[in-house]
Amino acid sequence: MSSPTPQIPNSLFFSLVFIPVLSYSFLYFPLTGVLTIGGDGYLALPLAMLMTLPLLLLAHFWAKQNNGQTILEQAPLIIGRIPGLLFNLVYLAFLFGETLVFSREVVSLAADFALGSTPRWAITLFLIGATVYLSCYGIPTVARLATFLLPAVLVIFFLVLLGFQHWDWRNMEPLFRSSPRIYLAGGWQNLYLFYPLGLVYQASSFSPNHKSAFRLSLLVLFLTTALYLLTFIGVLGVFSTTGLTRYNWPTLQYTRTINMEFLLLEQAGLLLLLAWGVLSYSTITIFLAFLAHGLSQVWPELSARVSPLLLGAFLIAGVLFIPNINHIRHYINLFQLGGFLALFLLPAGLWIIALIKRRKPSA
Amino acid sequence: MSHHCKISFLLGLFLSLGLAGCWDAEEIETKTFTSGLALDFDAEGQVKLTAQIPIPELMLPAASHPGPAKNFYMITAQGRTSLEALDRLSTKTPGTLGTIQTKVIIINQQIAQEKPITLLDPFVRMNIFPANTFLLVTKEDAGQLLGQTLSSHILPSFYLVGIFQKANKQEFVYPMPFWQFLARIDDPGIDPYLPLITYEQEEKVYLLAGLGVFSGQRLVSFLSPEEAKIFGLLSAKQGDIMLSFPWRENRRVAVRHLRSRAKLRWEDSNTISILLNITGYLMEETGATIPLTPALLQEMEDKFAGNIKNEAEALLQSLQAVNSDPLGLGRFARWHLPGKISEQEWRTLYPTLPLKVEVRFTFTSTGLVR
Repeated sequence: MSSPTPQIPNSLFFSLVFIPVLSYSFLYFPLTGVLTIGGDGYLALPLAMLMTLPLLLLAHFWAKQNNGQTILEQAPLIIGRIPGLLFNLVYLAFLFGETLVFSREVVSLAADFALGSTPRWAITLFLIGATVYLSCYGIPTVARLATFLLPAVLVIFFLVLLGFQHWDWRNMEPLFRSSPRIYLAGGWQNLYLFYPLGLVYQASSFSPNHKSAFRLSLLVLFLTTALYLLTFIGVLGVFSTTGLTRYNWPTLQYTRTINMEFLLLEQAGLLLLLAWGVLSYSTITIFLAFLAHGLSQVWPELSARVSPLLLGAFLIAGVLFIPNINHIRHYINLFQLGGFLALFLLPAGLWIIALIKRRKPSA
Repeated sequence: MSHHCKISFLLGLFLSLGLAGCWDAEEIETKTFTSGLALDFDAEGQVKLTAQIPIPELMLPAASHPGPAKNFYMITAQGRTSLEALDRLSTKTPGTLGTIQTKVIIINQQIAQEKPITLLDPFVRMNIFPANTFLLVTKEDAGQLLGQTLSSHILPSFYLVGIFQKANKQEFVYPMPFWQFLARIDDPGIDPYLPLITYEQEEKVYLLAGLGVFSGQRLVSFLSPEEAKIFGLLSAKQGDIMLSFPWRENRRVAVRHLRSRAKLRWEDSNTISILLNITGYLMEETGATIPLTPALLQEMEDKFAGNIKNEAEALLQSLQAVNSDPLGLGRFARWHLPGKISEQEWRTLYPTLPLKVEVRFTFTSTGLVR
């Protein structure tokens, strides 16, 4: 169907999954928890983590049963050409939507915090142009970039710790005040934090060992949950529940409160933006590279080196089409539903069909 | 030339041309930075924004020639909103107006009493000010106050920042960064306060004259410097507080480096009791009592604790009278009655809520005297 998938070492696999999950919603995720649950909204994070486990298990079973083949290659073989094509299109459309939402947020942050006078089309063109250029070189290359940029995570971690400078326990609120139904709803609403983990459906085929790919994906899930939890508790302890909802980017505002006189960190917010900015650049290249790889598996006529150009053009048009990030936040429920469908329900359905077919003697 | 080289060359050329003409590129020399801002209402009720703009050439004089007393200039603009005034202000500067180096914002009492949040919120929303800009309040014209020259020839805004950044200067005012002021306004369980500032004409110095306390979004009262010290102890601010009190007839004791820990307790009778554990250095005893026996020290400690208790209770009563809760007792109540006290209910409950203060005081040092 397509050329053999190149294999990447574990370290590159880790970065390939870790960087997108970490950077995807890092700057605003506390808003979701607080708006859905309230003062103890951070409890939604472990719940969302638990709810994400089935995704990783599914991806693991896929990789185990179809060694070397991605879910996109398997779908037409299991459910037929046309339904398989539809399945793949839904999956890729969601991945594209995920890339679009993220790219729009990066452009918005760049415009609001650094490039106020630069037209949005110019920021979009330069950002997407640069990511397209790199993603043309394929997944091993974008994985190497992600690994190279991994130290930026340490900068983010230290900034989160420094933000505790103004932490006040009285800003925290008593736990378990809401009903279990609200916490479950909060967990579901926060599930999108881990949507980039859906990349493992494709990324597993790049790992020489599906067991280590599963372990690394679990490690990514635990690490990001821990960092998110730490950040959420920090942001809440500084701003309080109501204070947090004032900002579009609570995590960014949290690091802006760091005050170390006469030191470089007088502008810690910009430092965070810089560290997160390079990671988000890497994230978009990863998304684009996987999209291109997926497209080339669905339509082998499309080369994985040419399709980023096509995707880039659509991405630029999409980013320019969304007037502002409030539109994204307004329709976030739709995005959550789409993600659940594309990353959880459809792959699970496909897996069940595959199991049934394998049990039949004729299969 | 290989295909790769051609693409890289073209891309490099495109990027270099694009970046060199970047819309946001600006040389630092062409920017005009404000170091401080003042907000007042003018006679027509419009917002009057005054900016202090340092003149770098006059701020770094040669060692042999001390710089002039005034190393800055002031510009003013009016507008119906604070952003409109800021926009008009930018037409008066030689370079592009940059507010990211603004260290202090002084607001006039009238603004603080009427609509501080309406006027300050846009500044935060647009990310054009550092989150750590210090806010102050004054009873005078804020613009004039910011434009005063000082005996020390230090830029007024830098002078004020210097005070807030030194712990040993924070005896009876406590800094309030911009972000914290807004967070307190947003939080129904705690009210903001702002340091009160005035100018001493004769000696050409700024005086920190206590605190302005808020009830919700509005300034409602002022605390004197002495009351502000007690507020510091009640809220466990770790400033370098000094207090003196009488302990025998015509004899006073002075204590410095006061440190306090406040423990709150919700009692069954719907009373909040505040237990203060205070420590400090005995620095002066006007009778020069020697030796300082444990019994004498105990007597001083008890007197001191009694004094603080009386003053703290008086301060709490005056805060309750204006329905101002800068100590955040509302947050504490929220912990004890989760989900049961709404913002409105707390505002109704707080003025009449019984508050008890207990004080324990210990000398941790008596200096070099035996």
